[in-house]
Amino acid sequence: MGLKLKALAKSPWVFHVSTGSCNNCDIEVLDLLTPRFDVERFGVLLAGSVRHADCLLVCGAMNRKCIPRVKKLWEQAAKPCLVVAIGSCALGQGVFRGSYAMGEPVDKYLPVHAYVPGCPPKPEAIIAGVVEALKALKKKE
Amino acid sequence: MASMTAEKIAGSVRERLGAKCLDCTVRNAKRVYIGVAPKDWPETAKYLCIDRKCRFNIASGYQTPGGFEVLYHFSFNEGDENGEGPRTGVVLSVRVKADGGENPVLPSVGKDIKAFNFIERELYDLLGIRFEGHPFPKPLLRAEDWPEDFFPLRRTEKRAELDYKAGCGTESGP
Amino acid sequence: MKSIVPIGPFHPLQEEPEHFRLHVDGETVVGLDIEIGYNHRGIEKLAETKTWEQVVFLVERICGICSTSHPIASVQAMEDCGNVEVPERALYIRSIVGEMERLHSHLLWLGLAGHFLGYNTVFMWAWKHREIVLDLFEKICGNRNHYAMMKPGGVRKDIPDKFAPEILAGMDELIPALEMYLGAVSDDPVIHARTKGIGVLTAQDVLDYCALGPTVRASGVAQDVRWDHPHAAYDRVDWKVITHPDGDVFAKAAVRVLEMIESCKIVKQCVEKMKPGPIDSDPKEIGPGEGIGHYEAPRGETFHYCRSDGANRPVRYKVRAPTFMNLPTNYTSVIGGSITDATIILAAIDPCYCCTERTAAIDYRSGERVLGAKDLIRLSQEKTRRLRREYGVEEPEL
Repeated sequence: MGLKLKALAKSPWVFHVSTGSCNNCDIEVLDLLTPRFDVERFGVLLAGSVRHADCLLVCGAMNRKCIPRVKKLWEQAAKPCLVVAIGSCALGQGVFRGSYAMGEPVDKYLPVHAYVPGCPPKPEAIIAGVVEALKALKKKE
Repeated sequence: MASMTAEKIAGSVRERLGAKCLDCTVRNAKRVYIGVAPKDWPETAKYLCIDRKCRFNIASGYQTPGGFEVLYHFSFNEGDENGEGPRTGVVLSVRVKADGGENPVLPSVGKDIKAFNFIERELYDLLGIRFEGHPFPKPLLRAEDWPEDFFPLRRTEKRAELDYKAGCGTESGP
Repeated sequence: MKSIVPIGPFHPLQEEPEHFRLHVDGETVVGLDIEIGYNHRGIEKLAETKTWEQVVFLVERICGICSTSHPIASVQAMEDCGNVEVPERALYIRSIVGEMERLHSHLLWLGLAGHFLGYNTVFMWAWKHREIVLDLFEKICGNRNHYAMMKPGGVRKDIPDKFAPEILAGMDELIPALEMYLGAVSDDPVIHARTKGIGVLTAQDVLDYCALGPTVRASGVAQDVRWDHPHAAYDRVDWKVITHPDGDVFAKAAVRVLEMIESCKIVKQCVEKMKPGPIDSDPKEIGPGEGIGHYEAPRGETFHYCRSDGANRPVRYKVRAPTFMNLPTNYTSVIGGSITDATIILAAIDPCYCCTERTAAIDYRSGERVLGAKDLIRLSQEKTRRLRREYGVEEPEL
C-alpha cells in the first residue's frame, strides 16, 4: 500500500456534506465528536475543507438545488476519496422519494463505497460504515 | 364554558363585520371559520390583528374547482369571559376566495402588517396567487430552475372534481 | 482542550446563494437578505399522496430536532378534523415524549451557542448531558431520534411502568446539571458582555412579527401554546410559562435553560400521575372536513392544517414550522450590530442549525463577499478570547 493510502487508512479526515434533509443524520455525525463516541481517538478528524478530506460523509436526499454543488465538491476533493452515504435519505431518498424538489439518490452522482442505513443511523453505525469503507479500500490494494 | 368562548368570539366578530362576514361556523369549542370577500379582507386582517390583538398563525392556500381560496388562521388568547384562568384558546380561520379564476389575485396585507410578508410570497411560489401591493414580491422558495408557470400545489382538473363532490368547506361564494 | 471544532456541513464554494446574506459596512451590519428554499422538499405535496398514518411518519422527518413536535401537531389536526377522542394515558405519554424532546433540543442549542461564542467546553458538556435524554428515548421509543410514537387517536407504544424509575432518575440527574449551566452563565462576565444587550427584540417587535417560542418569551410576552391552547396533559400538571423581560440573547438563553428545568418537572409529574388504561382509540377513518393542530415545539408553535374529503389521505396538508415566523425577526435584531455578534444573534432564535452555516457577509458597496460562515464564527470566538483577556477570566472547566 502506498504511503498516502496507509496514512488515510490510519487517520482518515472526514468531510461532512448535507444535501437537504431533516438534519438528524448531520447531528448524529456531529455527535461523533462528543465525549461518548469521541472518534478522534480513532484518528478520525473532521476536515474544515473538502480539499483535505479523505472521506466524504454524505447525508440527505439530494435536493435539486444541491446537485451542482455536490458535483463540484467531488471535483475539488483530492483523490482517492471515499464516499460513505449515511441514512435512508442518502441511500434511496427515504420518505422524500418522488417529490418534485428532489433529484436522484446520491449514488447516481457520486461513487459510494459504503452505505449506512438507518433513520438516523446510530453513531456506532456511522463509525462502522467508515471502517467498512476503509476495509474495502485496503482490500482493493 | 369553553364552547361559550368560541361562540362569543364568533358572535363578536360577526357583529363587528356585519354584512362583510359572509358566513360563520363554530366547528367545535376551539375552532371558528368565517368567510369574507377579498375587498373586505385587509380591513378584517387589521381588525383581528390590531383591535382584537390576535396572533396570526399562518395562511394555507387551496385550489378548489371554483377557484383558489386562502384560509388565514388567527389565535385568540383571550381566556375565559373574565380574561382569567387557563386559557381555552380558539383558532379563528378566515376564508377568502380569490378573484381572477386561473390567475388568482388577492390584496396584500404584508404591506401593513409584517407578519404576512413571507407567507404571501410562499403562496405565490406554490400556488400562483398574486398579492397586490406586496412590498417585496420576490420568490421565497422557488428554485431557479422552476419554469415560470410551475406551481407545485396546483391540481389537475380531474383531482379538483373529486374534492368538489365530497363537499368539504363552507358554501360561501361561487 | 482541543482546538476549534469545525462544525459543518460547510459549503466553501463561492458562487452559491446564501441563506443569510449580511450586507456589511466595515464591521457593522447594515442590511440583511434572507433566502429560504434550501431545504424545500415538497412535503406538502408529498403528504397528499400518503395515507393518514403515513403522513405522521412523513412530517416527523421535517426536522430531526423537533422530531415529535410535528407528529403531535399532525395527529391533533387529524383528530380535530375527524372528531376523534384520545385516551388519557396517551395524553400523558405525548407530554412525556414532547417534553423530553424539548430537553434534548435546548441542550443541543446550548452546545451550539457555546461553540459560536467560543466555549467549546459548554458544547461538549451540553451534548454529553443530551445523551442522558437520548438513552431514555432509545429505551422508551426504540430510537434516539424519530421516535415514531404518535398516531391519530393516541400513541403507538406504551411506556411500561417498569421504565418509570429510570425516567425519574434521568430527570433527577439533569436538574442539577441545568442549575449548574444557569449558574455558570449568570456568573461569567464575558458571557454577559457577549450576550446582554445584543440582538434585542422588544415586546412590540415580537408581536409585530408574530414570532414564536422562546424568542417571544425572552421579550417578556407570556405566550406558550401549551398554556394558551391546552392539549395533551399540560392542563393536568403544574408548571409555569417562563419569561424574561430583556429581549436580548442572554434572555433567550436564560429562558431556554429555565424551560428545561420546567420540562424535567413536567415529565416527572406525568410519569407519576399516569394511570393504567388504553393508549389508542383506534379511529377507523377521518371524515370530510378540516382540522387544525398546533403544538409548542422547542422553537415555538408548529401549526398543521389538514383537509379531508373522507378518503384515506388528505387532499391538502399545510405545515408551518416555527422558524418561518421567527426568521424575519432577524431584520430587526441583526441590523445595526457588529459582524462579530451576527452569528450568535442569528443562532439565538434557534433556527434549523443547518441553515445558519449558509451565512455570508457582503460588502454593501461593492457587492463582494468578504466573509463566509466559518469566518463569522471565528470572529465571534476571537471576540470572546479578547474579552476573556480583558476581564482576566479563564474558560470555565465546568
